Amino acid sequence: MNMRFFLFALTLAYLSSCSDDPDPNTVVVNLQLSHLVDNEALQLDQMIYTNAAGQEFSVKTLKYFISDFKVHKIDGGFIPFDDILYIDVREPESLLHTLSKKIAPGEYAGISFVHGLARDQNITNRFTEPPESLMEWPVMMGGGYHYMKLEGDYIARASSGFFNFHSGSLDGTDYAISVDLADLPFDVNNELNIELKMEIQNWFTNPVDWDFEYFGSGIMGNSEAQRTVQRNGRDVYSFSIIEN
Amino acid sequence: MRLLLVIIISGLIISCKGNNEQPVYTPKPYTLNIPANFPPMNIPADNPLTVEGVELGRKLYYDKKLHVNGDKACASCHVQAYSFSSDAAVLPAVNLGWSNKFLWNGSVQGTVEDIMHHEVANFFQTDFDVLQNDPEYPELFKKAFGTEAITEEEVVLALAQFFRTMNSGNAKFDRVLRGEDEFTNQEYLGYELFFTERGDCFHCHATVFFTDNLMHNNALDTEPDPGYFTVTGDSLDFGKFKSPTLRNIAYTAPYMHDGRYASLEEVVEFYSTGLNKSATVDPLMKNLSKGGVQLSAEEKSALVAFLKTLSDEDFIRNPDLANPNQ
Repeated sequence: MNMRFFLFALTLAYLSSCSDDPDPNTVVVNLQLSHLVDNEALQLDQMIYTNAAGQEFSVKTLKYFISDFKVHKIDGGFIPFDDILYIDVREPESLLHTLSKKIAPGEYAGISFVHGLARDQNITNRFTEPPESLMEWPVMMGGGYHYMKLEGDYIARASSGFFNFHSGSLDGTDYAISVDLADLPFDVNNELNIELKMEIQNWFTNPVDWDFEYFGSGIMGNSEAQRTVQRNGRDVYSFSIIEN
Repeated sequence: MRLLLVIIISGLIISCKGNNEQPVYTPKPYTLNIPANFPPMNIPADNPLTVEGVELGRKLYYDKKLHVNGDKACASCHVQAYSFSSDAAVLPAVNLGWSNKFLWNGSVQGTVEDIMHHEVANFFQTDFDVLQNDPEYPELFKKAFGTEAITEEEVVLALAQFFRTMNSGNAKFDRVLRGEDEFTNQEYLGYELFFTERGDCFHCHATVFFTDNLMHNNALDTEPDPGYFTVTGDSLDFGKFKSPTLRNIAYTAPYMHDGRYASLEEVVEFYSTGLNKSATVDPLMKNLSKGGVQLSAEEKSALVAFLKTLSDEDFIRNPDLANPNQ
């Protein structure tokens, strides 16, 4: 009887000591988005860039989604985040996001995310408010949302005009891009500030040198173009840790 | 005897008190019918819709007493038969509860209350004494807002409540989406043109509201009117105007901010072949260098046919939105 009571008390003490443990997830995760061309900060509305195919271009619009963000652990596991980030280079408040979950201090292996909306999140009418709702991708082309709208001017050999480098899921084929930066370890102490950098020039090369004349001004209904955007986009991102 | 006097005096006091008490009005919540394919409407917590508030807003909407000279009402320029537009280049007052930019040049931004404030204070320059001395309004304001003292605030709130009921979402397009109707072959071709980059209307005339509520230079002129530039002073905004909703577009001629086009056929022809270069043309006008999207005659007719499927006859005949003063 006494033994049973002792075990009961011990269990209670153990449980209560567990519930008093402080939450180890104390580190806020901030994501700061930077946009580069030729490794320099993007200058909007300036006809000063030349792509790998030798065509001049400017950038007037850049809006996109990032989803399925993960911080990878050294042991091979990862911490998933539910946040869907909308970024518009003309809206400064959209360039800094504090994620909805904290993590524990320690050493981490890297990050990964989806450029665009992960397949299970790309659902028509999931966004009812602008600006996200204005990224809608017509139902007759498969529905969901634009993953990215990159727009500007181009000057090529035989023509010049606007380009609308719009990507999304076309007719059931998902062209979102899984970005894997999970083998770039870093230490986390009080706060995790990640600078996520998009090199815009890389959309237009590796493995395919983008030709504005060949692909045309609008590419939403062009599966070859969407596939090329997806392939070129794999090395568009890099990141660094901003030290406090 | 003393007791009798006490009873009589008490009775007089009670009856006098009773005569002086004002009746207490509790406005009844208004049930807003939002079309099934529309998102929820954000309604400010300090201006919930009530039966009395909406009805008062409706009466004010149609009353020329709102104008300082007593010769204009909201309904003078925003006529129900024109989808609350008119035969001038007036933006239609439809589905404004989901809008956050108002007027062609976007000079008013915020809520419906903000645009109502602009109209009451700047356009109508309402003389509130006229409403205060009206035989009906003080009682109606009392019922809606609990005060007989009529100020700009209550007028704005009442009008905003009525505007939030002016919602159109039962066009043929909506019925097709709901599986209750079918497009003709011609309308379907127009639907395809609209929602693909062939016609490329959907980027600016976006969502179920057929507007992105943003400002664009749509290549109307080589020397455009200033538009949004007058609001921001930013040269990049020169020539930009608000994308109008295309809901009920067949009822709202003439078209563009200056009313230059009398018919939908003229509008479609403009986007097909009539674009003009200027410094701030939106890159979404991706066929600018070719003068437009270069539609065939069949495609142009189809696009017009599709645009007419955005007409909501129930809306322009809705008795709840009609003039209550007649």
